[in-house]
Amino acid sequence: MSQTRLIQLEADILGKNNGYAQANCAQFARDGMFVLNLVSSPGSGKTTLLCKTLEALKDTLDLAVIEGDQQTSADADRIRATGVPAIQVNTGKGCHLDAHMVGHAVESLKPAKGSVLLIENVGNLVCPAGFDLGEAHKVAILSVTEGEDKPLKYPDMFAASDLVLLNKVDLLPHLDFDIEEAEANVRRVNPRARVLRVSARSGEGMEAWMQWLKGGAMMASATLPATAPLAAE
Amino acid sequence: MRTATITTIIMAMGIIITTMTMTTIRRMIITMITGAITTTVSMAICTMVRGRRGPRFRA
Repeated sequence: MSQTRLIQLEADILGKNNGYAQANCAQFARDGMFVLNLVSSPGSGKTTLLCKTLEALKDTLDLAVIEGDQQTSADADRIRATGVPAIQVNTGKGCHLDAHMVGHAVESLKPAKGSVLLIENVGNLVCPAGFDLGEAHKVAILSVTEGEDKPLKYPDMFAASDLVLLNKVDLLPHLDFDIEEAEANVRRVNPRARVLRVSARSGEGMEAWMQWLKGGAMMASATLPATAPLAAE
Repeated sequence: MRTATITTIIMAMGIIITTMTMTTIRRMIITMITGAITTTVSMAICTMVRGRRGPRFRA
């Protein structure tokens, strides 16, 4: 296959995905939903972070989760154990979620208007960067066990993310990880990205992350028309 | 795996039935034809049962 043909094919795939993503985005805006796409490499602690976040916020926000993995429903089971509705998408041979899958998952999940939808993408720092799901923000999670040079090695993912969570900071005393350098590397790739240091296990920094999430949810639901049923009462 | 198993079982059944009822050259020809037909049919059945390849949604 010639290089020209290869480029054309990639453009067509992403173009089709972008069409579905726009439809998702329009639906999310119409329903006042705040949608986040959580991306990271495998083992960065996405699911644990998500579980802790859901346990803390489930009484104050309407929450729903889409879990992406190649196989198993282990992560969705962990999420459901917190009492939050979740749907598992097994991508099979696929290495990322795409907007079409998310559209179908939302149809099944039926999240409430004004809710927060958290999409945990397949653990992969490459492909999910190129596939828009219609989300408000990509949130990249980088654990301190991975190495501070990850943002430079996988710049597309960190450039596409609006928030970077440096996770597992409770392990810093036991590692050679240079957190200042990691933050500097994120800013070299994406100067606009906000960086938060968190630990799902110890709870350090979780308040800042949840405040950011609540702020976004409030902004998204503000676009909904005044609650008609309540006004009628 | 499942496709291969079902295909093999159906083919074997077809071959056994034809070889029990026919003789010599006719047996060979009919065995070949039966094999081809059963393979096609079983593949079609397997495709229908399994459905199109794609993501699985586990609610």
